[in-house]
Amino acid sequence: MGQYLNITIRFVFLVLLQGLILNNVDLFGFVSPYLYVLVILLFPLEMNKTNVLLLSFLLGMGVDMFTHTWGMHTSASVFAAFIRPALLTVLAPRDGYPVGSPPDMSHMGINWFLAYSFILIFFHHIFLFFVEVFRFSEFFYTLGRSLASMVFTFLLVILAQFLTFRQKRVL
Amino acid sequence: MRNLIQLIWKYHFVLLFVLVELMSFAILIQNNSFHRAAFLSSANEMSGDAFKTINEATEYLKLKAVNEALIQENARLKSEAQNSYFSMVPDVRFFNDSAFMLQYEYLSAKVINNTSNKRNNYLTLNQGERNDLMPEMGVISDNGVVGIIKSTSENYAVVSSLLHKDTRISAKLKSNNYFGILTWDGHDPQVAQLDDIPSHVSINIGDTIVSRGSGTIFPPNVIVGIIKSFENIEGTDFQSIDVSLSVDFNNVSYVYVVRNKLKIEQQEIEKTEDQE
Repeated sequence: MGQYLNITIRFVFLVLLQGLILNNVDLFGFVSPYLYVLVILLFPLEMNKTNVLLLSFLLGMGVDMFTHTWGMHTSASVFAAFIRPALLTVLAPRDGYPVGSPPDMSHMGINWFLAYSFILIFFHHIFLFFVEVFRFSEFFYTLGRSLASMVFTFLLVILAQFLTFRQKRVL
Repeated sequence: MRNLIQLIWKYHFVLLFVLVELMSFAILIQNNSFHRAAFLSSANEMSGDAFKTINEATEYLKLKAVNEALIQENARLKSEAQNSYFSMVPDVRFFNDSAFMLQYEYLSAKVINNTSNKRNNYLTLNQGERNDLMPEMGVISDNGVVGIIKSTSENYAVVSSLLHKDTRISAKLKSNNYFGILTWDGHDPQVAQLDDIPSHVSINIGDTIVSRGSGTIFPPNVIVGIIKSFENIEGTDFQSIDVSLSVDFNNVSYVYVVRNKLKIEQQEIEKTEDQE
């Protein structure tokens, strides 16, 4: 039960953080972070992948609500939720995932988490930016923008992980 | 039949993904047209309320700049007012009579949310259908053209800014009235592109670009920006012009929505001409 409460709080908090604060962050005029991907990254491993897909749909709608870009973040989140099971299979440790542990840095190790989050953020951002532009004529410019944003999001995800990691130690 | 069900069950995750993704794209494409599904506008109201609260907290930070802009605007209006003119001919006076008819009305609105760092940027205004704002009305600030209203709810309106891939504004050179289409290529939020100006038209860096006012959205001669650079496009008879915009989209606080009272009349007569 506590686990689901956790997911709900994280969901609502990150949607509000994204919608009200992070959307206004803009580095060099065009780089902004999309930290809400963290919600998709941290869904528990045992969670039914269909539920992950549907929750990601709601997540995307929540973010789109603030940016008036209906369907843009939604489609990218759904895509990220779709490739997540395959990614988890590819990255699985030799003797399988430990039972009941969430896919975060403190349980799975730094190296594993870096690879996992980077790949998922990569696909999410590429999809997001190309849906936003909706054409391939500005290919390299769009690619550049998505790569820059990707690095920013990735750093924030790692930072968020270190913050929550330390809290657990103190408590 | 059983095989079919088994097949569907086997691939249910992929099928569900395709279904949900198609749904997202349907929403996306629907949103690109001006008419939006009704269930989305209530959510618009929700996020509008959230933005309003945030804006109330942060507007103090901008107060000084806003005051300065308002003072300048006041000064300009005062200098245009009737009593600022000295009558050169003692018998002639200005009056409001039926020889003139008010065509454009301006409604002031506050910007409560705004982006300039995306490929497609939007502004949220704190006025909506309650104050007769409707989609496809023009929005200007005292510095120039800002954008076009995309959708409205009871108390809020969302504006597609000039910095949007679907915003196309008919603009002209103030000096010689040659006109073209102003679009934004998504790179610099201070610079937009003016196309369709023939290469025989002589232009200079620093020339003023204003709205043409041929459509029904903006009044004529609202400033858009000044020419930053230009070059002939090879193999064509047109030149590509970079326009530095007069509005700073990072810092738009108060705007005016333009209501054209003759809009419906103009649209109707143009429609009948098209049909013939």
